[in-house]
Amino acid sequence: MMTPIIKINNLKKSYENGNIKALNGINLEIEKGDFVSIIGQSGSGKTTLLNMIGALDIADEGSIEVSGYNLNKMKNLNKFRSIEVGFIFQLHNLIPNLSSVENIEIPMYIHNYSSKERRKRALELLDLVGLKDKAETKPTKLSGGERQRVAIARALVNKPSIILADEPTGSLDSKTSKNILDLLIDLHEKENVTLIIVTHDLNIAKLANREIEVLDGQIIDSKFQGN
Amino acid sequence: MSFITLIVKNTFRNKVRSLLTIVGIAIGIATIISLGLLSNGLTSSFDKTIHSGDSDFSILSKQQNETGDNPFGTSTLSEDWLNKIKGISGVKDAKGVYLVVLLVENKPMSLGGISYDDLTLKDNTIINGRNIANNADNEVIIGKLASETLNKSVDDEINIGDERFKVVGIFESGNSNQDDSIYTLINSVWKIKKNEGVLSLISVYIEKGADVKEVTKDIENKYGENISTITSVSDVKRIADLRNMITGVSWAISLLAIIIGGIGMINTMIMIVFERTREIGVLKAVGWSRTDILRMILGESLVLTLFSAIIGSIIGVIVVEALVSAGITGSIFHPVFTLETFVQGFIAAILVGLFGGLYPALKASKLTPTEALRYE
Repeated sequence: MMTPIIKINNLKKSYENGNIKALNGINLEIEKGDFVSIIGQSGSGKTTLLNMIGALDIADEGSIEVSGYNLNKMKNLNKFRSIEVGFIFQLHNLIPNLSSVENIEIPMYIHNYSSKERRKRALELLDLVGLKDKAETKPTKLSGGERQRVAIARALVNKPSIILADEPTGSLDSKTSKNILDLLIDLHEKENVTLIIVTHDLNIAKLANREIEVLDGQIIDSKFQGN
Repeated sequence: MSFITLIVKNTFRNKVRSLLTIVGIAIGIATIISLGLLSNGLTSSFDKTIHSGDSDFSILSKQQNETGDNPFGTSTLSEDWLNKIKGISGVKDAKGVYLVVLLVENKPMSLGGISYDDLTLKDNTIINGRNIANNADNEVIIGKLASETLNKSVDDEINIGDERFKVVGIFESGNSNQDDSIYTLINSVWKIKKNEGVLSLISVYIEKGADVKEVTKDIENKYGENISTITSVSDVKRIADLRNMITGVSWAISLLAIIIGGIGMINTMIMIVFERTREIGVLKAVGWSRTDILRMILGESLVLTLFSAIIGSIIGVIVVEALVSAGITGSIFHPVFTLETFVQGFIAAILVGLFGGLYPALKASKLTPTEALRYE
């Protein structure tokens, strides 16, 4: 049996002095290289769970271990984020005054790469997402799908072991959504990276080989699917 | 793309706002530069006025009519005093000056008789023509104001007493008293006044490293009954007080200008942080630390103020030159350009950048990734 890359035990998180219980005792294990979808209604706690896995937020109770790092005890969470995870958001969140290639270089500044090394790696990623000819194009001149491709390249640039995508196709039309999902699944398979997608779209959720449903901060269903 | 390039690109993301901020701070820096240049000129002019020429101090007689003549409303000294003063330890040289007021072409005019090698003569700025030649008893140089009063220019002839002189140069020293005078060699003034060997005052130059206070004290101890030094300790203190006052007022105005610029800077940087809150959240999500965010925002703040310092220095110099060209500063004083003034301007800019950017940068660095990413 494979060692889980993510181990969560009785994880709890609340906001506004405990009035809002975003996570209420989550127990979860995810294997390395899995493709997992997390579904649930708005306010169910799925984004909070994703943020906990990516060390964007800290738990009130319980334990969470990702890629061997105990996130409850770790002080340099930014270091963990820069090495182990790549985020893709619903809105691409690209820096508007920088070109595509410069946006992809952003996560690399905190590592000791030279300018040339940064540029080389960013161009490789642009090629991988099919935008080599748009290297110097600024986000405002790109289509929605192209912007999300740049965001995917940015998420992969530091070679993370886990990709966390929060509604990555939420602001795209159906054709572009399909292309982006195809790209993500392709990269997940080629790079053997663990892919976790938060979505409220059941059709997208079914593409994953494991589907987790969250309601009121608790996992109410977890099923493996044969794809 | 280097980290510095990233900072510069971020700084000019909103060009109009960045430009307005730069102009705001540049006005503060320009105030520092222009007031610095003008106050340097003013203190330098004080020095020139208090001293006889550029000597370290001057000596006057205490005795009434020692030589039997009182042409300048003060008592005079005999030429013998030159050797006595030269004999004092720490004195490098002593030059006799004979000052008289007489009618020149029917206008009352101050006439100064000086030695050929007197620094007073050498340091006056000849703006037209040349200086008096050695042993040229029939040559005079006249101040700019005097040339206007007498309507004389270079190569004109001028009658003083029974003697006829040629104007060989027009000078402008920045000292209104000097610029309203005529200078010639001391022998010529003695000849006009028929009073050889008489001095109005003695300009004393001290050795490098010697203490003015010590030398004047020695002279007053030795010859205090007959003569007095006019740049005494109290004079030095008075000049220092005046200097301090001018410098203090300049700094107060500059500080006010720079505080206003600094508030503009804080406002701009806070706006930048608010507008880019989501972006800061993304940077944190991809692994940037608090220090990385702090470095970036402070870097942007410093880039703004460095541009402000460059533009402010240029504006400062242009304003001062415009004031001089328009004659607003008159001939009373001229700006003195020193590296120190510009360094002060740049240091002020850097401090505004650091302090103005610090609060917004700390605010940005303390944002948690989730609250930054949720920001609308």
